[in-house]
Amino acid sequence: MRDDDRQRDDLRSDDRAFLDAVRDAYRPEPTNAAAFDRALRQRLAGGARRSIFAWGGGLALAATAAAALVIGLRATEAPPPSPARPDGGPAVSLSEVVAALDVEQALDVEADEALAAPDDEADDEAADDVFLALTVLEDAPEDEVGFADDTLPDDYLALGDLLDVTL
Amino acid sequence: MTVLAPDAAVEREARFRAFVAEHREQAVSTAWRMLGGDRATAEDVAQDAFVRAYRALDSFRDDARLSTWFYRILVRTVQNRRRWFAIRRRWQGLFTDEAKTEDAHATMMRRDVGLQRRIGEALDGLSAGQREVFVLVYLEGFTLTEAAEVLGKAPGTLKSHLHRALKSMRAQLADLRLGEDDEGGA
Repeated sequence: MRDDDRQRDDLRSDDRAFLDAVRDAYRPEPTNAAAFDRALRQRLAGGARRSIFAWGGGLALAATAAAALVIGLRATEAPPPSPARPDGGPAVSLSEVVAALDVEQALDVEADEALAAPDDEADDEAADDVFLALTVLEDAPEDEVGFADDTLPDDYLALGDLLDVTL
Repeated sequence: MTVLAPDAAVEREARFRAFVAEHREQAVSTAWRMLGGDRATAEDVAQDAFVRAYRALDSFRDDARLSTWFYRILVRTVQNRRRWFAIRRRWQGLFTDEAKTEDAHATMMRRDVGLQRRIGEALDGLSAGQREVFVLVYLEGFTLTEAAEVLGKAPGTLKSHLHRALKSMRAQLADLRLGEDDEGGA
């Protein structure tokens, strides 16, 4: 074990006891290995069901695409006044992204700022907006957004990589 | 499309079966903990990641590197699922998460409902970055180096996340006195 791996060893004993209790209490039931492997084989064989989520995602795409279109049309009539929402919400809104004439520039400037430190709720929502906007704009299955030929960007929230893939 | 010789194909299948057997439980557990106790989605995510691993198998001669790559896929898939759930919640009226809620509820009913729900809510209260490294390192036993490789972040950043996450979790669950003479424990 390398020195920088000694996270648990460096903890106080009460912190370790706390973590042990959390880990023991918050664990799933054991996986049904046979059922899991059977479903996996079906997927690999190409005859798999679409995942429950994929169906949900498809429905979500259809509805959000329609909603985004409405918002986008409204936005073209009355351009959004400010990057910041009156309610203090995320700096990048769906309507702003969708309505932007130069989507890439909007994302580069605003999303990069919002996602530079994606560790608060507003930034998470901004990331949601960008993710959704990219998905709607590209009309792509959600599973494919963010993944290009199974090659992952180093930074898991690197919007630049997402942009390269989708725009 | 690459056509493998029969022996190579058999060897490839055996290698994949071994990989799945070794990582199945931890993959589901990691996804389950990051997704707030949603069994069906956790298994779905794990299977997605295994399918990708199968396709990428020939690119990784070293199973350790394949394993790191596999968990990166897994975490990213979890991120996408959580993002969709968050988007759906924000677009209330258009979508529901009934299946997810019922599944999580059914899972928790078999165990200590109150305790698991409280822990799940506390984890949900962390930022995405904090939650991911907390689950990987403190709950799943990844080393800091492994977690840094999986998450694509610097170890120093993860240390900071871990410190804040632990502090937040202890504060949120303080009333349960977890780890103190088994009070409030499982």
